Amino acid sequence: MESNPASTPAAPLDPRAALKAINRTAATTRASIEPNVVAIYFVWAAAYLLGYGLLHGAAHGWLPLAYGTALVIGGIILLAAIAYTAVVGIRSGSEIRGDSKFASMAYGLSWMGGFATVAFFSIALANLLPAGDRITTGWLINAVAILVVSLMYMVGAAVFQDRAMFTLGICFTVLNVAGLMAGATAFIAIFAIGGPALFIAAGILTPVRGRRAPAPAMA
Amino acid sequence: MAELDPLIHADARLRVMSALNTLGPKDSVAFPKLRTILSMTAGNLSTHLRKLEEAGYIRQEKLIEGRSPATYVGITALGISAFETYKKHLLNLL
Repeated sequence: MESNPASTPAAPLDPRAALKAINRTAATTRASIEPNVVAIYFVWAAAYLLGYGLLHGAAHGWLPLAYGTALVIGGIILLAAIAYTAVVGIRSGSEIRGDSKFASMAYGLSWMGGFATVAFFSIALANLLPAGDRITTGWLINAVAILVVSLMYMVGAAVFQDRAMFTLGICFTVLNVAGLMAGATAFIAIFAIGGPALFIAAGILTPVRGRRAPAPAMA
Repeated sequence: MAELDPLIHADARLRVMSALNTLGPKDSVAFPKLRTILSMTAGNLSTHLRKLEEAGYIRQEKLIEGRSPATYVGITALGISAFETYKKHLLNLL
């Protein structure tokens, strides 16, 4: 059912009611034109936990799973998370024209370009390194993939003027350096714990940041 | 004390201006999406959009998407300025 308060002749608006209407409409509009980033962060937290968790279990023997199988399942989880993010992004940008639409599209395609390059780099590196040293290969491929992730978050922060996104990019850079310093045997544990922790923190802090927006939080 | 802009100070048009102001001056939204955001009937929304367009606060662009006609609505620089002034006056009244 459609609420249609303006179908009757406009009654004089109380200033407080007018301010409420402005803020409520702004919030509804934002929810309609911006992707639900909190849901996206939680989906990625789950993807990191499951993906890296499976790899850790397979590599350290606490899961009855071959490392290759864990890699394939991890890849499927990654693709599912990418598909979810893409669908949410495309839906929120539908029926909108203008600069922000182009920025979102270019940003989404940049993610795809970055990860297509990582995929080809992975194949090249796997062919270059000695067969059987899959942990070392995975360690180096992961470092390049996370480099792309952290740079994309920082670029996204610059494009969308989002400080939280920049912080997330910095945190992933630090996590990547930690993984490289920890070595091939320890990096999976670092990402299995650190990745979900960062995404959950981002998901929790994002609405908090919204609530703390400068008063009177007008559109 | 300055008076509130009567063109904006009506529930439906106030919500239209708030939605388009949130979208920003460089973007526009399709008529059906704006109707969904505001929960208004097409006829009612059209009436208010026409009034705001006549005042130069918004712009409407008709184009062909695929094979179907589509109308996109966006706020103008004058509309942003009027809405900012309206909010300032509104805050002064509180």
